[in-house]
Amino acid sequence: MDMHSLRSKTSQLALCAFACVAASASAQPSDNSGVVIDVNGAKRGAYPIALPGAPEGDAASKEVAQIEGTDLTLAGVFKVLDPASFLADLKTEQLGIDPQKWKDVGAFGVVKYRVTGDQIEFRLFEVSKGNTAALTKMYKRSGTTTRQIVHRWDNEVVKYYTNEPGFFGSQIAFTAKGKGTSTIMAMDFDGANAFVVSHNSSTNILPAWSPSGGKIAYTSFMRNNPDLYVGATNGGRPTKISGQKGMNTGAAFSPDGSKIALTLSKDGNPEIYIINASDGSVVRRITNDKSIDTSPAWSPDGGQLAFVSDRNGGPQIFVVSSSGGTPRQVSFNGNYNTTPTWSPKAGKHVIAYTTRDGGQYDIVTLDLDTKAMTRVTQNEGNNEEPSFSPNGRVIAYARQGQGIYISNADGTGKATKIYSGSATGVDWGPAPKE
Amino acid sequence: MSFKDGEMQTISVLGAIVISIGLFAPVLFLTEKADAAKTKFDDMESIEASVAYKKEKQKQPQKQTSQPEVKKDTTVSHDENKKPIEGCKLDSECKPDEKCKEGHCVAKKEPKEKPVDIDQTLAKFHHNDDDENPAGKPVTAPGDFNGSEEGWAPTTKGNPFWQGFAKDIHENFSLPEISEANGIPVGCFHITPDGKIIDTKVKEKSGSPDLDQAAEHAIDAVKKLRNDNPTPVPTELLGAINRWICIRFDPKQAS
Repeated sequence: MDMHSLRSKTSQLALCAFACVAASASAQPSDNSGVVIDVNGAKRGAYPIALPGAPEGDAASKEVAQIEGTDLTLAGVFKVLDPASFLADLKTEQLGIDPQKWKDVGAFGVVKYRVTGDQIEFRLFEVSKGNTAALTKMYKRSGTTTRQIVHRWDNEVVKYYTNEPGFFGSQIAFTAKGKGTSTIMAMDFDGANAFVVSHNSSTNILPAWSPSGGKIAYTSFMRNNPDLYVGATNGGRPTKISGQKGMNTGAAFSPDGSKIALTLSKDGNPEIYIINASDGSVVRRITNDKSIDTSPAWSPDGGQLAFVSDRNGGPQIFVVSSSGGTPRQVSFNGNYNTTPTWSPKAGKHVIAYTTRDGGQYDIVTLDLDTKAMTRVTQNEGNNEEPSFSPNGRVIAYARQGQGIYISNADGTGKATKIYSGSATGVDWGPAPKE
Repeated sequence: MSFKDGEMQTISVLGAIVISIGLFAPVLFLTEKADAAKTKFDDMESIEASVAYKKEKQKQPQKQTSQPEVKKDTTVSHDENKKPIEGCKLDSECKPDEKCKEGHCVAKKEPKEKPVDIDQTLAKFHHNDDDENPAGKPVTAPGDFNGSEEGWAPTTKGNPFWQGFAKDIHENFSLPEISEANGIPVGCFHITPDGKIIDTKVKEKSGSPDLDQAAEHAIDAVKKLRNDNPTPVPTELLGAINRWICIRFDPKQAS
């Protein structure tokens, strides 16, 4: 092979190699490089839900819309959107939805319903999942009120989203203060259907629901001494359960309803006792201290009691085993903390109580495990005597001289007034029966 | 042994193919492996445009501090030697160096404003020599005044245009507390030099429907916001907007 042909072969080889390289390069995926920006941390808040009224617009439909709006506003989970912003044509949509129309107004959930002569049909849509209803229920109207039906449906909605029972249909007991008298009253959680429990003209204070919801214990001065009575919520004469000499106050039913924790001062000094709910006989004395011990509250599992004691100076919250033992102080903020109540949330150890801060009384919650405190009220008057809803999402409390309010237990959102008038001693009853 | 031209050509081609395969097979193999290991965004330019947002005020525990009440002195002066302030209606009723003001004689002289000492003002920027700020060491901590009368140190971190864009996204990125938040959706914008957004797309879904909806909502909101009030793209970024500008919507706070 001469030099010329060798050069020729070499160049051919190089050309072929280049062609192969070029071919392999063109097989790479096309360049899609661009700018990418990381945005971290979505703002977390209430679930935006749209409650468009039924297009029929009759009285029954309007009643459904009104009850549903109140329920879901108070639920502590949702942000009910303003119907004025809705873009969807409700007449065209009927019981369905056009998801894009609801996305455009920021709705994540939409509830549709139709009231007919004998039934109400509800549908819940998750906008992000399209136009197929996530939940559908039909309720017969006979033998029940529209209010009860809507509450049942709204409990289903809350359960669908949170896997917790709703509290719609539950009731709240409280002391209504009149001129020279104090009356035990109860009402629906939203302030509707208020009724009197204590039918005497004396002073009646500190109501406490039985876990079954049928009875309310309260202290009455009707025979001059502050004795403990239990009255049925559907009327009838109350039964005196504890008439020990001195105080028989601050009753709290145990979770199984068989016992009552309360303050007795039969031996001179106010101490925490547990008595039988059936006959008032003393089961055991919980505290034995020269200080004043009051306001017992059972933990959801019945194993512990929170109470107020001034044994270390000002009134503070203490926790003790319900079988007795040495109490431990759990509140350390400020020098005045009273009226503890336990959150019913399973697996959590959270209490709410009244605290005095800068001359004002406010509601706070305290996680006994993490010690994290959450302020529920601030700069909104004097707020006292908190009580958790049956699912622990919200708290009812008395605002001095104004009435009863509900706030989210996590401190978010605005307070909603559910009762106007002078009230104290708020106690939220058990979850509604299915 | 000699080959004819035709034979030589055949051998050359075969030899070239063998060599090419020998050369590029490992390269291709390694490239494919590397591509597989790479995330989808490794070949994209990542912009440092994290939003500096304020940590929300902790509501509790928080004691309200009450300032001591400032009481106006309405009592009589305890200085027995002090003469009572004389009342007046006209300046002529006062001493020559006084004037009548609000029924009382007061000194005419107004306190002179202290002249600005420019040397003192500039002294904070003065350095005796360069050794005061050794090379490689920051002269200010993030958030400190950096000596520029125009702005603050953090604004120099990342490009302000991208920072503003990320801020707009962040402000419109809301997800319900009860919603699932797994995965990271990716949405992209086509921005024109005048700052308008002419197209958007969801490049990747997260698998959490509510999170995807939250990202879509933020994309739509920012598109509207930027089209209503467009911010022109700075010259140095014009090259970047030839491509999609993509946002990774991570629902979790950056650690």
